[in-house]
This record gives sequence, C-alpha cells and structure tokens, in this order.
Amino acid sequence: MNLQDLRDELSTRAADADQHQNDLLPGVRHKVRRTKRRRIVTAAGAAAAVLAAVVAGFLPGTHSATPPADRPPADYTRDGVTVPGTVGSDKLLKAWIGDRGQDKLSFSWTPTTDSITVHANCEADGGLYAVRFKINGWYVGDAGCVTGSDAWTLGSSVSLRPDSPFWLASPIGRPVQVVADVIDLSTRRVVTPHARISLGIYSTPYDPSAAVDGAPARTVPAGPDDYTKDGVVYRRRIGGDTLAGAQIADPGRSQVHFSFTSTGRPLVVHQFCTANAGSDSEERPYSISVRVGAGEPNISTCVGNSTDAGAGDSVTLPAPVPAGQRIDVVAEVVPAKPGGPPVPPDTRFGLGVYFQGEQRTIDGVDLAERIELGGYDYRLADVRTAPGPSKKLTIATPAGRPYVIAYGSSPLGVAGEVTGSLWIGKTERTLSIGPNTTGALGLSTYPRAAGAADRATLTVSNGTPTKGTLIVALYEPVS
Amino acid sequence: MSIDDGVVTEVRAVPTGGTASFDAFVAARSLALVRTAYLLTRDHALAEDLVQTALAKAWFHWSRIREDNPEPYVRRILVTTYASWWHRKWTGEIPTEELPEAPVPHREDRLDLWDAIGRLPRRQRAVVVLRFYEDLSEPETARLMGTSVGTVKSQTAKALTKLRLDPALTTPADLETPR
Repeated sequence: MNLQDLRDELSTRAADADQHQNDLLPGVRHKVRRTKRRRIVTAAGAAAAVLAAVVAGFLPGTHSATPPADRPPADYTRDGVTVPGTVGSDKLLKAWIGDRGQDKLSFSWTPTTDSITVHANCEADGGLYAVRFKINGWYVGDAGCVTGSDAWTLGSSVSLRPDSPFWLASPIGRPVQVVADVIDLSTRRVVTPHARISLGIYSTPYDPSAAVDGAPARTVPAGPDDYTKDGVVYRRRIGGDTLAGAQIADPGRSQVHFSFTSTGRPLVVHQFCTANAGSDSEERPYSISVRVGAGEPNISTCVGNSTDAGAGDSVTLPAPVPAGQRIDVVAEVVPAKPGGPPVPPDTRFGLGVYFQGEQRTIDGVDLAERIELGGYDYRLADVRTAPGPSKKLTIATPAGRPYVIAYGSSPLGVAGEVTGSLWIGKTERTLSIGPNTTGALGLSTYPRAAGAADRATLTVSNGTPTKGTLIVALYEPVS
Repeated sequence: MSIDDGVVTEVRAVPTGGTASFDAFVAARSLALVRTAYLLTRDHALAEDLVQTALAKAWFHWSRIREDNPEPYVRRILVTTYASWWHRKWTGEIPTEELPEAPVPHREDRLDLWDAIGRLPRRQRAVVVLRFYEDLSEPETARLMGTSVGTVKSQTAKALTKLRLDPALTTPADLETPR
C-alpha cells in the first residue's frame, strides 16, 4: 500500500455515501427545535438554577467564582481566559480557571442539582489533549482541549443525568471531590504538557421528552409493585415482560442470590453494576457472572447506566426448567481477567430476571407483542413479510399518532455483506451485516413522532438474498 | 444512538434571508459533508446524524458566519464533534434503536485497508481523512481540528505507521513520506 492506495480507498468509500443520499434539512430543523425547547425549559427553571448557584460549594483560592444570585450567571474571566455564564441552555454554577502549567486540579464541590454538565477547555501545545474528569472516583468523561474563540461552542462536555447511578453514592447536598487531569488522547495517560485548564460546572435542564428523536418519551414513575431498593428500581412490567425476581445487593456486596418459580417462559436478564464506573479504559476491568438454574454461568461486561435498572440492555435465556419448578439465580461481580483487581468496595450490584412476554415468531425471528420505548408501551398492530429474494417490503404508517417500526429479516442466504435500508418518507435507516454470517438483518426498531400517513419500505440495497424472510412490523401506542 | 448534544451558545434569531441561505447551503453542501462524515464514522446513519448535528450547531451562528464562506466553520464543528464522540455515553443519551453494524466494503481486496483505517484512533483517522481525502494542507488541517501543525504532523506520521504495521494488511507497504 502506498499513499495513492490510501487516497483511492478513501475516495471509493466516500462515494459509497452517495448511494444513501437523503434530505438532511428536516433532521437539522428537528435538532434546532429541540435545542430551542431546552432553552425554554431553562427559562422556566431559571430561578432554580440561580438558587443552585447561590448554595453551590466553592473552590480554592481566588481562581473560582460563584455567580451572583440575583441575575443570570455572568461569564467568569481571569487573566484573559473566560468561562461562559451560559453554554446553550446550561447555566454556570461554578467556574475555575487554573494557572498555566497546572495540569491537575482537585477541589471539593457540593452538588445542588442532579442534572449537571461540565464544560471545559484547556490550552496546551504539541499534542492532542483532553481534560479527564472524575468525581468521587467516578469517571464522568473527557472534555477535549480546543483552541480558538469558539472553543466553548465546539468543545466537548460531559453530563450526569438524574437517573445516573452516580447520585446513589454522592447525593445532592453532600460535598464531592472533583479531579481534573490533562491526558494525552492517544494513550489516555495523564501528562503534564504545561497546560492551562478552565472549566465550568453547569446546571442542565432535564427534559426526558427530548430523549427519543421525535417520538414521545418520559421517565416512568415507580409503581407499588416494582422492586425498589436503595434508589434502584426493577419495574414490575417492562413492555410485555413481567418481573420474576430481583435483588439489589447491599452497598459493598457484589453477589446476589434469589429464586422464583418457572412459568416455562424464556427469561430476560437485566443487570445493574457500577464496578466499572471508575474506569476510563475501553477494556473494562470487571464482568458479571450469572448462573440461572444449573449449567454454565453467563459472563458479560459489568454495566449500570441508569437506576431504572430494567430499562437497559438484556440477555434472553431459555427457561431452564419446566413450569412450576424453582429456578435458582446466582450472580456476582468478577474481575474480567484472572488475577484482576478486587471488586471496588463502593460497587453497587443487582440483577433482575423477567418472564419474556408473548412473541410472534416469523421464520425464526421473534417479534414481541408488546414493547416499551421512551417509557411508553406499544402493541404489535401489523406485520408484513416478503420472501428475501423479493428484496423489498412496504407497510403503511398511521396518521396523527406516534408509532414504532420494527424491521429486519431472517437469514437471507447471503455469504457476503448484506445491507437493508428502511425508508419512511425521505428518512433512511440502514442495517448492514458483514460477510461470513447467516445474512440475517436481525430486528431493529425505529420510533416515529405523530405525523401524516406514510409508507415504510424496507429494501435490500446490497447483497442478493436467496432465501429467508423480510419483516416489517408496525407498533401502535397502547391507550 | 443520536449524537446530538445540543451544546450551542448565543442562540439568536436568524433573519428570514439567513434561513434561506442556510437551507441553500444545506442543499448544496450536504453530500460533500456526508462523504467526509462517512469516512469518519463508517456508518451511513451516524454520518448523517453527525452532519445534521454540525449543521444545527452552525444554524445558531448563521447570521455571523454566512457573510463569509461558512463551510470551514461547519467542517470544524463536524470534526470536533466527531473527535469528542467516543465518550458520549456519559451525556446520558438514551439509545433509540440497535445500532447497525459497521458497514463493510464491497470489494474483498479493499477490506483490509478499510478495516485498518477503522482501527485508527479517532483523531488519527480524522487527520488521515482531512489530509488524504480532503487534500488539506497541514496548516489547514490544524485549523480545522483546533490544534497545532506539529500535532498534525505527528498524528499523520503515527497514523501512517499504524496502517503500515497493521497485521490485516497482507502486503506490507513502503509508504511515501507525506507532504
């Protein structure tokens, strides 16, 4: 390979994008509207933000500033460096500007809201650097070092939302330790490039309705039949799935053990695990081991992104025993590699097992009769199928109410790459499956806002199916 | 997964004429922007989302930037948004669907090189795309990425070394020295 090979490859690949040309303007307008909506929400909550600014903790020395309480937060400037009072809809709670050469800072701060964003920047020469944030040892994220007058617009930010497990151990009103290091983005190691760090901690309006593009969304309130412990919730029902058993370990414990009676239905397992929260490595140091009934345990990476613990990723297992028999569940947090570090003592861990709801099986592909998206339930209203070789399938979409399209296929008998494209109006979603697979597109969902009646069309845009079934399904809201 | 972070500043009303010129810019330049975004993201849907995010951010500054050539500004937003992308899970966004698998090439003989480019660290991939697809000079690349010329040089060298040493490339190559 030489540079011309590289140029040719990039040009060829770039031309691939032409095959998927869409009108981007509707999507841009949607994003602009969503940003404006956040501003409106912020205006309504300005009093709360200002109050939060009053009682926010303070930082050491003369490097910090708390905005005055009687007006919107002002910019904070020191030695020619400015931390903006507002960034979009975010309002400044606390600002800090370090000295040049101060490549690390550590300070105490008291959160007054559970929806915060850290915006930061750093000036550093000669490398690709970022500021890495940890709060009470919890890796919050990085903010890239960007130079120029528009750095605060373009620079990255990191946020903690109200449902973050972070707040379980660090509740509002309790001081936390914030640590910011300059790291080299290539190696992710702490470096000392003689940088100058500036940062602001901002209150961020939390608007769950902006979370799922177009379709309605909400935070589901806990119900009386939900399993709740220490701020973590396994809801009684999620879509068509019903809670069979759950346990949240006491803080510092990394194993759970419970049992329930089988109904013969497959089991959907949702974990809640924070042991990896302090790691910023892509290789996560901790896994979980889950044994459901007899047999080998199932190993997966420890993950816990929300205190609504049943709403995230899951693993589906066949029922290990017939209906009426007891099923023992044992799960624990374990090092990802033999001899790995011990499980952190502040780990929060739990497991929930659900009976899978009714499914409609089409050529080996399961379609749930009832699903939850954005906190709302949808029921399977219509399913269309077509032989894989036909390469095209269409379904009508309803007017005036939100809906969800599920689309995919069973194995299509394609040895190489196969790509499916779902078109609704001028919007396209693609599914691509690499070679050396069965050529099944699987099943994906696409929530849509209420609008005019239209048609959703699934086409196989790359690959020649020889068998299998194309599937497009319509889910409508459960009233 | 959406990549829109809604981080914009100085939200101002855009005059009607500005809206028209913005729409015209989107119509005229979307395809070129999506090409670059696709080389960065290697996924058609995410590439469109990245471009839409960059354009939405630019819209709030349109009254200021439309007088000049706005494309470098939009491209800078695009690249910096992409560069800060991999740690976006901490922004707490809720995925709306299963992400499609990364597309794979049509031609077997290109598979290894395309995959090797995909294995480059995010910023090195950006440097490669800007230098060898966009044909930007080192100073132009540095301006776009908000970094120094020296950094662009070093990242380019590292990226090319990684490509040359990538075990998937079955034909070890003698790379030219970049301009």
